[in-house]
Amino acid sequence: MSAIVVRSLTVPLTQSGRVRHVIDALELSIAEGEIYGLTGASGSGKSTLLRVLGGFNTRWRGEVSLLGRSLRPGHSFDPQLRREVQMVFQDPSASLNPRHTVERVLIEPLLIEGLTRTDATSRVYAALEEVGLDASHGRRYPHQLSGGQRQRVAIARALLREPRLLLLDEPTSALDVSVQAGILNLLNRLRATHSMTLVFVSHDIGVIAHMCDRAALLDGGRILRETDRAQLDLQE
Amino acid sequence: MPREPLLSVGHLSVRLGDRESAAPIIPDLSFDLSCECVALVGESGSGKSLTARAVLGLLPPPLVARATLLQLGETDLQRCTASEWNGLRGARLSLMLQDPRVSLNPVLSIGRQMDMALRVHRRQPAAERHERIAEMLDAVGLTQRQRLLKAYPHQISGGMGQRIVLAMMLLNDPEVLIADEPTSALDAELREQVMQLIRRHVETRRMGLLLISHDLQMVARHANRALVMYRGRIVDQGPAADLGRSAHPYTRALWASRPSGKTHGTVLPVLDPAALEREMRE
Repeated sequence: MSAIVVRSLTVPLTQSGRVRHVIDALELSIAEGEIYGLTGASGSGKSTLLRVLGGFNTRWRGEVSLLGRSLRPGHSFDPQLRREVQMVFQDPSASLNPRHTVERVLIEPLLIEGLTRTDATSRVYAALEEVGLDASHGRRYPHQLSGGQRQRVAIARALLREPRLLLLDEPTSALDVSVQAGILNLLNRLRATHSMTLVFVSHDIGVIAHMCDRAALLDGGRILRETDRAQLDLQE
Repeated sequence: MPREPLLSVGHLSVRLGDRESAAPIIPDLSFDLSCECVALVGESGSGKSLTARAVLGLLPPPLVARATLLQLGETDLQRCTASEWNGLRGARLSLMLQDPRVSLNPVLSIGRQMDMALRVHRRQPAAERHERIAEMLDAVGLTQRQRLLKAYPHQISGGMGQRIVLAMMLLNDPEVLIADEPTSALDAELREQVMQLIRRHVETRRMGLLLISHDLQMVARHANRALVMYRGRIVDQGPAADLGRSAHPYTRALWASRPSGKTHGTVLPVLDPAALEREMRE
């Protein structure tokens, strides 16, 4: 079954009175359980596409269906889809509240969902352990963590909602290669244990080639080329 | 190749505060730079940029640099007064940073700031200055000169901005260019183009280039020599092309942790600081 089906998707952007199509009649289909890469130059539309799939941009035309459910432009996700589709952003220091401890950042969505504090706390610490952090990290503030640890917290936050689709927008481009290696290993492990579909945006073709089953090269809001695993294997 | 060093750094240390007892961030670092490209590589926090700042006399207080030797050609940089430094920077010793939006002045047009870079260092008729600017923009492959000179930094792309910064840094024919992650803010394709451009100019002008980068594969393609830094020390050095064959555990780990199509389905090696320190002591 397809996790994502996109038919003639167009995302207009009005810039100083003129309308430009950031995504231009794009077609895409991603199977369940796949790791799909999106790459391309700045401005090619890869992040815009990811924001449509994540429900952060609802100003689009065309057909989009996620996990078997059709989306309607102009409408935000229903609660179930909101839980099943999670996103990890490039800069974890911008996506974590600096005034909340890690535990509070992670526990809040669970309490809103209606879990008791005891249940929520135990799930938060289990998730921290799963991403390679320990209980002491839960009591720290984001600025007391390294870049790699912060990104692990952001991944833990996404995991806690038990997503079926995880969208990653340049999750390692702010990190050192040696730290990036740890995060990529973690994502590969989680994908195996959680049976998720991953959409991975990166401008680093090496990262895409390491992670993905298939990848698309975007240019001017369209897919210029789609590559399969055999072609990605050749990537230095 | 002539081996007369353009820049010599001997026993450089950087401390937090002036006291001997202050723990050094860079304990002891020495290197020479001739007409070549020497790369300082390592992770964030290894002291690469701090080394560059110390050489340029631009350490933010309370950081203090000391060295037994800090020499640019015949000039002893440690004896330079503030006004002598101003005459040096941008003229004999230039710095290129990662993000052109940070290094260019946002409220001045490109033409205006390029002209200023020339005027600060020498008296010369306006016509000659304009000619020199045109020549440099040509040299970095920028056409549509008239439009570009009138543009402001926010109106140009990152790749174009980095070409302009390079042109500006080369205006006064410096002896040494320090490039701190000059291509990390650019797309993969542009990265290669800008790096080739920098290298070509460094070679034809017989300059020295101190390239600071965390990208070992890029350094292996473009630099002559590489100095690998870890926690403020040079732990490994050699020809840049041989980085991938280094026997040093830190260099090996950095090189191998780079993902590619060949590493698909494998677990990437992750740096373990404790094990690394143990192995380095042995």
